[in-house]
Amino acid sequence: MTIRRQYQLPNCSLILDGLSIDPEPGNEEMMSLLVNAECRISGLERSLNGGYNFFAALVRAVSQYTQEVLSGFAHPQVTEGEPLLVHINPGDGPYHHLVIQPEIADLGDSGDGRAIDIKLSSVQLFDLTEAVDQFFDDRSTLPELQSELSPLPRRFVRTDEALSDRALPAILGFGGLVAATMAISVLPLPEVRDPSVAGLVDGADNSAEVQTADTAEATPPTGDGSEPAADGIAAANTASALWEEAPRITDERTLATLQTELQTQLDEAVDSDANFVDPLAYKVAVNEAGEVVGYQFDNDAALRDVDKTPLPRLARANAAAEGLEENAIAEYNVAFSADGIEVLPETTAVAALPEAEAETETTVAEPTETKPNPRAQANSTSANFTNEPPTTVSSLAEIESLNNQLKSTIVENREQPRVGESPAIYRVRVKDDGTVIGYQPVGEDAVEAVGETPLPDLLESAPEETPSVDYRVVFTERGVVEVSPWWGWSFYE
Amino acid sequence: MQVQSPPATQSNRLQLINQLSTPDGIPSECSRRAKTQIDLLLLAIEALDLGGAEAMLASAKELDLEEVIRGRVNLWLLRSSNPLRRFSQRQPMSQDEGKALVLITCFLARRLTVLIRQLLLGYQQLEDQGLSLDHHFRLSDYLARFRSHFRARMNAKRSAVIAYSSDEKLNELAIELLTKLLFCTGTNGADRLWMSLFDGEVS
Repeated sequence: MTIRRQYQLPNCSLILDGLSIDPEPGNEEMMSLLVNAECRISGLERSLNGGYNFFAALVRAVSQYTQEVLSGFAHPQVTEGEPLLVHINPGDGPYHHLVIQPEIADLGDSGDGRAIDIKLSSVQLFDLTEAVDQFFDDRSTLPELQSELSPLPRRFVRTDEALSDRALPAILGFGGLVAATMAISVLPLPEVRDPSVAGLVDGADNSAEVQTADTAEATPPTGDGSEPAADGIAAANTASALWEEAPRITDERTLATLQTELQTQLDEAVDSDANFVDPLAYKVAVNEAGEVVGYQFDNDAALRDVDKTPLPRLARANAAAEGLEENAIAEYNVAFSADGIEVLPETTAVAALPEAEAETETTVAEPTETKPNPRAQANSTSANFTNEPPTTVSSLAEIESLNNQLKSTIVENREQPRVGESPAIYRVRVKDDGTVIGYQPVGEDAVEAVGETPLPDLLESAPEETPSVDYRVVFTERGVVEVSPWWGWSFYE
Repeated sequence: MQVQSPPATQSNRLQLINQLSTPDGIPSECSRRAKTQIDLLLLAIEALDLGGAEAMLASAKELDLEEVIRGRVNLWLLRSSNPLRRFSQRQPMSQDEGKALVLITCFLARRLTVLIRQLLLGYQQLEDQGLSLDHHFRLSDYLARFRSHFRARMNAKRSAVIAYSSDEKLNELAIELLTKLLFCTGTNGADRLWMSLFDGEVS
């Protein structure tokens, strides 16, 4: 018995012609054999006709593609291993493309052997889907064809990920590597010190004294083996050309200035967290420009802890200079202790000078007299500050004029007004002609700020007994200089 | 003996939910993508129908889903599980809750079938003629409403939302959702939508 089933939607209709081959009563209406399937789509001149294979491929493709529309993930439209006879691809805008291979559908006379491509709008596609779904729901027509809806397995989703999405992490990673490489290339190359240099210094022919700094650093700081080697170095230093041949600076003013400069240099260069448990004693050679050109160890602790001091660093800055031993140097005894850094003129060196320079001996030796306050000495000039009021009383007018003179001298000679967090206070000793012959920082702030004041530049040395007046000089945190007599105005009235 | 809640009643009530099949291997909770999809489809329905939010509650009653969708707050909390939301609630969405929302979506979409088809046909005609979408009054109305809903409720800091920062991108999304709603109106719409939510979630 011939059966015809029609599923009609506004834009699409499916017309199935078939037979019932089930002889059992009650099943006469069951279409179990498809003779012809016709698919009519509105706007299409001819209908698509085909047999069972065409229809089965069509409903599967439509059903799977509909899931693709809903989820956005491409579904396989044929079972694996079968030829792709009917296929639907997404198109531009509201369109989709139904592609049918010629061998499966009866295209009539117009067939030219090429696949036909039918452009379906979303509404047309939906009507086709709805016709197919109505067919699936109709259990009396070809019941073996079922919709077989199931979620897409994960493996299909992964491969459908856009290439750009998959490549993005890799590109980002590579880009990051490139960026890091470029950033690192900008950084300076680390200095590599060759440890083999240490062996060369032991020879007696090393002319540049400053190399001892590198040597001392290159010597392994740990292990017993370093001790004898270090002794060797110390011996070599003592005999080196710099200390033997270089002429000494004898001018007492220069010596005093250099001493202050060295003190300032060391104060600034020393690590703030350096902790000198054992006192370290050095002999330091300074050239006329105030640069550290060499140093010797005066005790074992000095040799051991040389890296804690700024001396190797300062001396290395002048390592490249030639003819060090020909230029005049000044020698100082430098002591690093828990209390701070103490710079004292090297008296023995002066004493050993030739007779021609002997007459300066007495003046050079002046600052080494016993001081009531070694801390003050360490941070100030050679002037002897005491807590005793001055015995020589000057007139008030003189004090006032010196006061104004000192203030204008400081203001004129400072590079820029000092701006800090707290005021820096100094006790400044002035000769009767207005020359600064000594100063002493009061408090830690003043010690740190001494480089910001013109005091080191103004300093000139003078004999101990020079008549002088002490002033309190305050560099306020706002850049104002205040000067007043140390003992107060009332003292002189 | 008085029986207050006969067991048969419950199975009847959740009849619709049980009609949606539960394929093997799907996770017990709805995925992030599922939560997002459901909320966006409901957002599109709100843009189509001014009374959409009320209609969702009404249809929950009509479909006997009140046991799963327990009132306005519960519905809001479920929709806020969309991770793109501005005030996203990090709460799971059970399968039953997901199924209930799918049923409501398809139920409302079916009521709006005529409008959805009109808008899609209008969009198709505008595309064919190369005209801008403003030429179709009803369509541009829908698009404008969807854009404002989306911008008001989604977290603009999320990269998935930033992708829709322009009007054009949001219009594309609105049309895409409209097309999906059309497929929801079909005979097997609910089944198809429910299955599509687990694409890529099973091994």
